[in-house]
Amino acid sequence: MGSDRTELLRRWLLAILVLGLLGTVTELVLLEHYEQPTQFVPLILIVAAIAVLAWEFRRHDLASRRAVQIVMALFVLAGFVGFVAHFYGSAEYQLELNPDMSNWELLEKVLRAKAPPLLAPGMMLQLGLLGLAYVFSDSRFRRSEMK
Amino acid sequence: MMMHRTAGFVGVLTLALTLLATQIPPAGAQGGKGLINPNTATESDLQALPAMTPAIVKDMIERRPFKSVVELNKFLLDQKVTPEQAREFYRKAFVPINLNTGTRDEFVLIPGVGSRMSAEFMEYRPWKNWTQFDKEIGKYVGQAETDRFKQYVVIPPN
Repeated sequence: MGSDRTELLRRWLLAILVLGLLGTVTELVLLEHYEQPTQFVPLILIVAAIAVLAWEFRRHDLASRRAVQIVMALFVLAGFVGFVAHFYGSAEYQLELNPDMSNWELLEKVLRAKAPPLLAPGMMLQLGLLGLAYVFSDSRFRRSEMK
Repeated sequence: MMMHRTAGFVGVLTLALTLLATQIPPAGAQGGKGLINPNTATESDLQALPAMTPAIVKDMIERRPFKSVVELNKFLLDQKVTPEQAREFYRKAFVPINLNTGTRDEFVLIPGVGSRMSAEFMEYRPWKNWTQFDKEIGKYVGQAETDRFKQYVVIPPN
């Protein structure tokens, strides 16, 4: 693939990532996803991502790209941690109803519950992977990683 | 022709509003139904409830009205009814809780309600109607459990 096409693809990745970040932060604010301290995590990460992407847009150097890489890795981590947090959050309601529920029954109830949405933190995972794809598709960055 | 069209539009609008009004249950219409209220139940109804003895029923009738389920709970525990027996009792009989003023201590006496769900009951105040209750509580535990909770609570009319 030519370098022009790769660069075009990278710009698309960046645009999709920014769009996803803006959409996610809007949804989280509208859902009031800030009632508990841990619920601030995705909001803080999105603000950090927007800041490092703005830096990357202006400077376009290895330091800015490294910052994007670190924040995006945290997004992936937050996706998994969020999944676990949502699972336990939902399980608490179900166990209040029936503390003797079997594990399978609990899993089924948690998967069916509309809130907290079990798979919603997957959005953080997806955005993080998009960001990492953006970083690692840069040949300069890949070369610096090899050294 | 224009008059005819306007009359038709008004007719359709009236029908739509009527249908809409029948879909929204008024506050207080469903709450507190389906369970025996220990404040108004007959002696024979009380006698048929779990953990009840003739002596407890006699004392309960003398003691009532209970201002809240917390008061009822204290009475039952004083009568040497165990917490497990009291929970079974509450599956059949309960003093309905006002959703807009009820306390955590009252809510956690509803079978299947703990600190998480009682916090949700308090978070969405003021409760205005059962549609709101179905929407906000149903998303956590589904409609069947939400309908069961409705037996224990009331939304006072504005």
